[in-house]
Amino acid sequence: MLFLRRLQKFSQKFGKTDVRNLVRERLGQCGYKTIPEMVPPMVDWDELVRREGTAVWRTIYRLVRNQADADECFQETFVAALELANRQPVRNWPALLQCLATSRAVDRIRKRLRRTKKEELADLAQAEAKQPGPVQHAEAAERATRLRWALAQIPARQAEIFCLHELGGWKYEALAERFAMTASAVGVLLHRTRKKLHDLLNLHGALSQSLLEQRPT
Amino acid sequence: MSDHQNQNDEISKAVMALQELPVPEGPSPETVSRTLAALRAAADRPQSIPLFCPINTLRWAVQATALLGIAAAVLVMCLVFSNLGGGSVAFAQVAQKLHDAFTLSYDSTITSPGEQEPKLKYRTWYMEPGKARMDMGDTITIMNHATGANLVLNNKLKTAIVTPANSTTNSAVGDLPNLIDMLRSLVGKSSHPLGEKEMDGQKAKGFVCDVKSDLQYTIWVNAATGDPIRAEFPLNIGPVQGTVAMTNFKLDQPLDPALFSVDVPEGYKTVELPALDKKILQITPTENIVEILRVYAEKSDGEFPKRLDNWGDFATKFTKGMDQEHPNADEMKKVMVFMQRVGVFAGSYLFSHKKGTDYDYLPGSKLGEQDRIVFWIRDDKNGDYKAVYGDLRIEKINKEQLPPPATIEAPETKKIPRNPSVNATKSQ
Repeated sequence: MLFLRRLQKFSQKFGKTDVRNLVRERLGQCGYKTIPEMVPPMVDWDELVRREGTAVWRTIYRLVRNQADADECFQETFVAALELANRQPVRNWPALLQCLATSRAVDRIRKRLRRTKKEELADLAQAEAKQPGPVQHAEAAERATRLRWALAQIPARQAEIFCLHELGGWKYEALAERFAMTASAVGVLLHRTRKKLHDLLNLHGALSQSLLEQRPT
Repeated sequence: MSDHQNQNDEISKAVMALQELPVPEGPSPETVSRTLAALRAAADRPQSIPLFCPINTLRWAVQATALLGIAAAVLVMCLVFSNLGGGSVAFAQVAQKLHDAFTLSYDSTITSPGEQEPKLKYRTWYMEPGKARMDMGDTITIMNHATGANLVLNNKLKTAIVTPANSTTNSAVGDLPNLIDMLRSLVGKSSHPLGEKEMDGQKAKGFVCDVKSDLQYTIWVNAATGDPIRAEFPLNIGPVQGTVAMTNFKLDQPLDPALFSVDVPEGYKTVELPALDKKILQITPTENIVEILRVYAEKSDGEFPKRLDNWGDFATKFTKGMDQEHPNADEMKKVMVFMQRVGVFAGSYLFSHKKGTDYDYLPGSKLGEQDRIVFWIRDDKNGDYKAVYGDLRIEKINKEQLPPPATIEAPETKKIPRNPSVNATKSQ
C-alpha cells in the first residue's frame, strides 16, 4: 500500500501514469487482486475537464441561467468529483459529473430563487418573456422560468431526481442506484414531484398575473 | 382531458421549454483555468477528515488529549445548533412530546455525500434532569447538565477524562442546553408537509422545515401518535459534510440511572480536567487563533501548524517532552485546557464557516514573520476583514489585501499531471 502510494507520487511527479497501471496489472497477475484496488486510480483532471467540461457546464447553465453562477457551480462540481474520487473508484465519470452538476445547480437556484420577493417573481417571468423572438418563444421562456422557480421550492433531492430524469434522461434504475432507493420508490417520488411542480406552476402563474394586474399602467 | 394528463402535459411543456432555451456552448477558458487551479489546490489538501481519522496509533496521553479536542468541539457544536429556532403547529406537537418525555434515546448516523455507509454511528440517551450519554464505538461521553460534570471514557485505552461537578457553574457543560430543548428549538418557523408514507412498518407523516435560510430539517413522525420516526438534516460544517439522520427514537423508556454516572469505572486511568473556562467561549475567534498559534509555535521551534483541525498533530505537539506513560498531572492539565481551546475554536468557528470565504489559514510561515499573513477572518456582522500576521499581531485589512490561497502557489502542489492537450492553442 505504502509502496503503491510512493509509486503514485513518483508517477505523478514524472507524468508516467502508466507506471501505476503496470504495477496494478503485475500485482493482479500475481494473485493480489484486491490490493491494487485499495488505491483509487489516478485521474488526469485536465483531460477530464476538457472531455466532460462542456456537458457539465451546459447541465448547470440550463438550470441557473447565469454566467457567474454557472462558473462557480462548474468549479464546485469538479472539486466535489475530486474529493469523491479520492475516497472511492469512479466507474462512470459522465454520470457522476452530471449528478454533481445537477446537485450544485439545484442548490444554486434554491438560494437564488427561493427568497425571490413576490414582486420580483412577476418581473423574472416578464424578463425572460421579453427576449426577442416569436410569441411562442416568449411563452416558452416564461414557462422555463416558472419551472426553475418551482424547482427551487421543492426539496433539493426531489428537484435533483426530477432534473436528472427529465433533463438528463436518467432511467428509474440508474436513479435508484444513485440515490439508494428502489426503482418503484423513484417512480412514486417523481409522480409526487410532478404533482407538486404542477401546483407550483399554477400558483406562480396566478400570482404573477394578479401582481401585474395590480400595477399602475 | 384528465387532471393527471393535464398535469403531465404542463410539466412536459415546461421541461421542453427549459431544454430549448439557448445555452452557451461551454465554459470560458478562464473558467476552465480557474477550475484546474482549484483542482490542483484541492488535490494538495489532505484527503481525509481529521475528525474521523483514526487516532489509535498515537500513545494514550496523546489520544486522550485528541479525544478531548473532539469532545470539546462536539459540545460546542451542540451549542451552535441550539441557536436554531422556530415553530409550527405540527412540529410543535412533536416537540412537545420530546419536551415532555422523561427519557429519550435515539441512534444517529453521519453519512458523507455520495456514500451509503455511515461515517459515524452513535446512540444517545437522555434522562431528566439534564443527563446525557453518547456511545460512539469505544468512546462514551456522559454529561450532567445540572451539575456541569462530564466524563469521556475510552474503553479501548481504558482512559477517563473527567470534568468535575462545579456548583458555581464554571463549566461549559453547565451552559449547554440539553438536546431535548435543542430538538424543540429546531422546530422551524415555516414548514411544509411531505405527505404520508410507510416507514418502518408505520404510517408516517413527513415535514420539511426551514430551520435557517440554508438549512432544512426533515422529520417523519407516526401519523397516528406523533412519535418521531426519523429526523434528518444536512451537515455542512467546514470539512465535515454529509447528512445526520436520527432514528430509532424511544421516548419514556425505563433507563438505569447508572448509565449516566460520571464516576470513573474501576481500572480506568483518570485525567481530571479543570472546568472549561467560560472566557474561552467568549473571546473572539481571532484572539483564540492567536493564542493557539503562539503555543503551537512555542512547542515546535517557531513553526505554525499545517492545519488547524488536525487533532492528532496538536495533541502530539502539546504533549511533546512529556512522559507518555506516566505524565505529570499538572502538565497534563495544561495540555488538556489547551486542547479545549482548540476544540472550542473548531467547534464554534471553524466548522461553521467556509474556508476561503469567511476565513483562511495560510500555513508555511514561522513565528515572527511580520509581513506574512497567517490567518484572516471576515467579521460575520459587518463584513470587515482582520488578519493575523506571523508576529501574531492582529490588523484590520481590506478585501484587496487578502492573500491568495497558499495551496495554489506552493511549489509542491503540482500533483496533477498537466496535459498539454487541454490547451487548445498548444495542441493545434
